Amino acid sequence: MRSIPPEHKVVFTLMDAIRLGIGYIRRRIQRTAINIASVALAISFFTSLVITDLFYQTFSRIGGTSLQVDVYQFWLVVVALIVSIVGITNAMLISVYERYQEIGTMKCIGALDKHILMLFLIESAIQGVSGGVLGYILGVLTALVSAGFTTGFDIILKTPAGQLLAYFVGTTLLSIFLSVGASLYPAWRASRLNPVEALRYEL
Amino acid sequence: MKRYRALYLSLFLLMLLASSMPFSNALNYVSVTGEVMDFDTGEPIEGALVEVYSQRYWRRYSSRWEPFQTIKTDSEGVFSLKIESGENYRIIVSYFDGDQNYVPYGKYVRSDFDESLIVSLMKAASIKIRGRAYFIETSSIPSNTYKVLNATSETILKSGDLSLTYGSQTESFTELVNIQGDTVLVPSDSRILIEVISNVKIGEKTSQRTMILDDFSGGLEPGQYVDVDLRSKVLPESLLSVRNDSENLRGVINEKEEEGFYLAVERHRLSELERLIQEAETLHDIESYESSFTKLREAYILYKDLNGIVHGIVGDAARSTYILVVFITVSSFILGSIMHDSNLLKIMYSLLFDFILLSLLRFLHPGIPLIGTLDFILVSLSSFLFLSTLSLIIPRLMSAGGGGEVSIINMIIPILSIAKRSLRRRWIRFGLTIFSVIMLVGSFISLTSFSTGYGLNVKKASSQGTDNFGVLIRTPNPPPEKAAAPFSGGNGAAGSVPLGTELVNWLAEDIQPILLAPKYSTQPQRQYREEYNPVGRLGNTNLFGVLGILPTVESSLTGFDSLVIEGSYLTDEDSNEILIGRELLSTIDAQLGDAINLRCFDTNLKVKIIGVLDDEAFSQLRDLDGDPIIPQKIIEYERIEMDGPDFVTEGLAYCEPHEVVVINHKTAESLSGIWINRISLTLPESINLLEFSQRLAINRGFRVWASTKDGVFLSQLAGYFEGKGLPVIIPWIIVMLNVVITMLNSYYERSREIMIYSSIGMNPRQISTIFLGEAGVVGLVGGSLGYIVGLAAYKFIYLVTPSLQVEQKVSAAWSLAAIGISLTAVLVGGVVALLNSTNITPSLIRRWRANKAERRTDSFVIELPIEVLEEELVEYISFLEEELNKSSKGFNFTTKMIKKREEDGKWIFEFVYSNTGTSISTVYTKNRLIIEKNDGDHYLTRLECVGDENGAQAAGSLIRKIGLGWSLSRSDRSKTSIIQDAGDL
Repeated sequence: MRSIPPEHKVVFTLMDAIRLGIGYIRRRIQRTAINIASVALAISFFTSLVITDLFYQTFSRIGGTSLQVDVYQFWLVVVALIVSIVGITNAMLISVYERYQEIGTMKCIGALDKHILMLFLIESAIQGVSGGVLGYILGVLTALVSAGFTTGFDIILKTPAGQLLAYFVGTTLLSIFLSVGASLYPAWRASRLNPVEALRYEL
Repeated sequence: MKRYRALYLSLFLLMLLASSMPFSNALNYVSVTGEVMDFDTGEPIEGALVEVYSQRYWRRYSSRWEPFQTIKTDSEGVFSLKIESGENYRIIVSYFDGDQNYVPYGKYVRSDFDESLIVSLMKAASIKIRGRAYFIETSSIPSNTYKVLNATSETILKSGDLSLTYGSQTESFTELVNIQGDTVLVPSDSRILIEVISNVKIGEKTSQRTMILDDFSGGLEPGQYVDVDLRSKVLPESLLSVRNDSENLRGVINEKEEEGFYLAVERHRLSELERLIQEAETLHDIESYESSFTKLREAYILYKDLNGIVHGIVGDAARSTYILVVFITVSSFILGSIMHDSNLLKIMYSLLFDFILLSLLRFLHPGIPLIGTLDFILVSLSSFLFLSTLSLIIPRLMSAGGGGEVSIINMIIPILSIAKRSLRRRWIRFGLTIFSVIMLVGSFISLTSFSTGYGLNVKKASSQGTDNFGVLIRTPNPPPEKAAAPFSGGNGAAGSVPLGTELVNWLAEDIQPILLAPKYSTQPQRQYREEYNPVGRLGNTNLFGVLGILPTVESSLTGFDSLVIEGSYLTDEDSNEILIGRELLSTIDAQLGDAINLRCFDTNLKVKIIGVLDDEAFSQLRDLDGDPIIPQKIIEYERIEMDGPDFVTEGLAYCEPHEVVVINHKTAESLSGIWINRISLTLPESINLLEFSQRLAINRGFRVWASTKDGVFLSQLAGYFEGKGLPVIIPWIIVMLNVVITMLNSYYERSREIMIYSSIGMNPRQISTIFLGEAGVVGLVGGSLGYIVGLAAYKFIYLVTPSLQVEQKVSAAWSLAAIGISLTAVLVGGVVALLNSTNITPSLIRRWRANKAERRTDSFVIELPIEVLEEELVEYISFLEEELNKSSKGFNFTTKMIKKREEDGKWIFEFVYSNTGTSISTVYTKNRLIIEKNDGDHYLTRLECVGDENGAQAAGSLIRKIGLGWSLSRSDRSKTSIIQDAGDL
């Protein structure tokens, strides 16, 4: 088998995937916004609980009463995260259907399965980052409002910044992980598309 | 002479009768002498008190005995009395000395002849009864009677002719010989029992409780003094009773859990109940009876509430079964219909789903065994048969009608068919949406908890601490029907229920506060109608409130004395003195020191004005709870004149200072219609005010305010609501957003399909119903399945989180709520999607392009296919203006700088359109919307649009959509006018 000369190789870098992903998000900003909102809501709920717990721990450490978050709330967070994942999967599936012809065209001009996979995963990762950051900010504010009346609103200043930062990184990574995880099946489905059938497909 | 004999004889007899009268008075007295001696030694008792009671003055009215004569025995123990003959008397002999007491003695005497009595008094031992026989079932204070019984025969002992009875019962020795109410004198060296009879008000009824004190059955030494705490005798019985109740309830909960109920919240509250009982037992063991009783009463209140809840859950669960069966059958039919189009297969699939789901329900729902398997099968079969018949008959009943618009009812079947086909085609997406709805409803059912209860409620009435630390007591708020009595024409008193003087006595005796300040005031009444319900008069001036205070104490607690700006303040002792405001003093035209008539309801009193109050300060003076001290009155809010009596709405308001007089407590007690409205207490520092107020609230059922350095706290027994799991709103929103995305895409994908529907005559409402129908199907199926998943979760919660405190939702209301929460999520999502979609009426806007052919000079010109009649013009212009203004708040696009003007018979709107939402590039156009008359009678609409082609296309779409809205609304109006015309005909 003759190897493909280097100048004929299809080059599709991570930056290309990001550029295309952002372009697609901009074109469908309304639906993407709804998607990000649902991720942000679930993440903010999760963040609000863990940060409230962190505030309570800090409060207890500086001599206040020992408080804790109700267990059932964590179960609700699990539910919120699951329905959010389902939502992302759903939205990405829809996104795949809408872009059948685009995927077909890309494949015709040499895009490999992994390129299509990367394109969708990058798009969902962008949504994950946006939802994670937004969710973290909302979650911290919610935690401050819910715990502040008991612990005092300056509790945020007494909480070690390192811990807050660690939670920020953690929740953002969780958000990316969930978004990417939820998009795996739609992305895989898109990558496996037969270009001929994809081009013939009509909504 | 003979004829006068009879007359002389009559005169003689008359004179004889008259002359005998003084002698008859002397003859009516008989002598009663007696000797009082010690029963054991026979020695005379000197100084024994002999009291004679007579019924003579009460004969006409009652059999009440009244004290008549009192003497003491001499050194020989002898007494001698002269009493009228022919009467009944009661002689009571008693002897109390600090060291030597005798059992009091009573004898009935009929004074027909002189009588000589030998009274042998038995040496007594004293039993001091401490505490009261409180009962956990009631907050009322019981009154006790103590009977001394023979320990062998258990019959009541008699001392002379009277039973040996003490306590609150009338005619007991406590009343007759004036000894302390809690002291029982019993014969020494006798084997006796004490029977305690407590009269207690439970609810509206007075019931009697009896117990036997058998600590003295071995007999007591003469002069022996025994202290008995009644609470130590009553509490064990109450403890045992509540302990047994609690055990029984535990048994019921265990039994119900075995039947499949998830009673974690109830079990948690049961642990709380057992903890309270345990604490009560511990406190009882260390003889802290008052605290023990408080804990026990709290436990009892909790038990009553919990017992009601547990039994209520069971009843609700049975009832909810019927609703669930119907919902599940409907869901099964929907699923069956999605699976196949053939009627037979549809029903077969439905039956299969119904069987599977109902079997699951049978396994998971604890209410089904309660109604019985046979009933369950019957209900399931009948609901299935009913729905099968309905699904076969309804499509045949629906018709397109004989022409014109097809009604929405007749569109149901086609709409559901279309929705079904769409769901089947997009089954992965709708499957995922249903999955998220199932998760939502399942978590709502299994992870949220909304419960109500009744118990001690403590809340901060004010966060500002006061200098006056103390406690304020009021009765609970009256039930609404009683509070409303004055306003509905009754004669009842308005405001809170008055406190009784017995409460003041109880507080003084049992609590022993440093200061105790009852506040008396008139209750607004309905029986006085003239001048709008005055409660009395001062001279000729109407009064609407009379306030009675304990002057010295009130000045310490509220600083009432500082209100006096002229004259002097009231004293505790002097009656018939009043304080009035400056304005009232001038109204009645009186001076300080003047005597004036005070009328309060039906009592009149001559009172002296001794001081003048500062009106402003008086109206501002407040009690510990923040309520003004000034009494309340009834006022008229609104009067509607009617043919008969006017319809009057009344309410309560605080009196003005010039409508009130202030008197002291003694004067208040001599007036009618004036009651204790609140009691303030100052307590020793050793007493924790908050704990004390909670104790009063629990034990006595009062509303109690405690003023502490941390603020004012109100303690009362009240119902409460506890909600857990409110964050379920977040998954709800996420699911709703999920539905929005699904529905939006469904719309985008099906735009061509929608055009076809439109072209075959479906109107926008019918098309949108397809989408909502799809959403409804998702909601119903998701709701029913979610409810089952939620029920299943209770079975596994134990495995993952043993202590998860959630209330099981097996009632009919929760079944409906589960369906409701899923339906609202999907329908709200569906509606949001439809509102956000660019347009759902493609047939009316058609595909069009603002191409170059329409371009004239530097602008695109878009003619709108709308003709407006002359008479419609004004309405049309305002419609356009309104819609353009509405669009200024658009999500994807916006209209700005809207200007309207009329020029040469033309109407011109100028506005800027920008689209920033969904496109890659932003469009921006300057527009002129011109409404101009054509050659005929009609006005035409034209849009002139400066910008690029995309912008013209977008702005043109907006204006066409507005035009479409006008056409539709015009169609509705014409329908209305047709109906009106028909009505006129």
